[in-house]
Amino acid sequence: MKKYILFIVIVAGVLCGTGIAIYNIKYWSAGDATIVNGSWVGKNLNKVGTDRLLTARIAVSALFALNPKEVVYLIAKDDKDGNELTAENDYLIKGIPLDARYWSITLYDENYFLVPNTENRYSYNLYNVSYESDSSYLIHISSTRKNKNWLSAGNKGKFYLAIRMYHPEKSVYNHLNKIQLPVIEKVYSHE
Amino acid sequence: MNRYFKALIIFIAVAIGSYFLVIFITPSVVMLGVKAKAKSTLNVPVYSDVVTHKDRHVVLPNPDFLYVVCGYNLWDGPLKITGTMPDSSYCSFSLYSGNTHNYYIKNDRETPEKKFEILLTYDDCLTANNPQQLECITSPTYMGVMMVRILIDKPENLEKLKEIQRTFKVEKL
Repeated sequence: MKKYILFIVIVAGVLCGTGIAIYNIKYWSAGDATIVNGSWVGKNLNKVGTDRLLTARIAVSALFALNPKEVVYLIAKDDKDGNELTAENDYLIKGIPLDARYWSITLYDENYFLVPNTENRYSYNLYNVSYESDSSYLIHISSTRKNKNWLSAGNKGKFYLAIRMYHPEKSVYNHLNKIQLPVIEKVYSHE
Repeated sequence: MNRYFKALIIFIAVAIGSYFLVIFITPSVVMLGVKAKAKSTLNVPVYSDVVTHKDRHVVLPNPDFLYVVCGYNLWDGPLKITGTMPDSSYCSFSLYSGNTHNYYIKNDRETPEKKFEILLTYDDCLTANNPQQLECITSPTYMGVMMVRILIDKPENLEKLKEIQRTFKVEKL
């Protein structure tokens, strides 16, 4: 085989293999999740360290995640109707307290960083969320300020929500696909 | 025909090799990138303030926590890590290997005495220099990251929790 053809074949192989690997690491779909509950998806992190693809995915999208004995992480990229969460819409999160020592709901931009806002408020947790009279809570996601339980997603672009449950009860671990998690409902579109 | 078949075999072999190489080295590359961005000195803990949108070193930061982060290097021998955990608020001490794997974690409930003292070594704990007979942890890699998380349960406890945060120290033995 002529040398330049061999060179082209090798370069094409490297580009192809590298491209597929980067795509697989960066873009994992709900189909890859082992936990699916409404809008919320999660992955069993027990295999981080031994499952090389999972380890790479966690390094890129959730670096320094703790092992599942300590905390359960769930991510929502869609609302309850399966549409992507975007800052062009307002949403209402309706939920009940989660059965864990500490839980929180945090809003991240599409690069998994916190979104700047006038209140420096990026999350709500069991201590600082305002509860309704029936012990449930409502969290507003909007580009315009609300009186209570307000999170800003900025003015444009996709965003994600993350639930963290530290030291969840055994019943939570055993029924992650069934427990009652907050529902994310689109209530207004600015478009 | 034979030539095309040979080229196809080479293409597939190189593609598969590249795929697994990228998967394998990505965690270490990410870890090196974080260390470079943080510009911190190895074996010297960094005490974070309350996390805001300006913190862009690590994805998915938790704004409810105070952190102590320390990139460690065990080439020159073991490290002694000490600290005090808060009385009621959640706190955990975790260790990550050079490929980002969380291989050790201990939380405040597992530390009832609240005093935290460990020896971190790359060597076998049975042969490590451990005159104080501290709990000994073997790191799977020479380099890695130590991270302490302290939950800010109430804003009024922030200053007290910051004092607790500063009790975490890393010393060379």
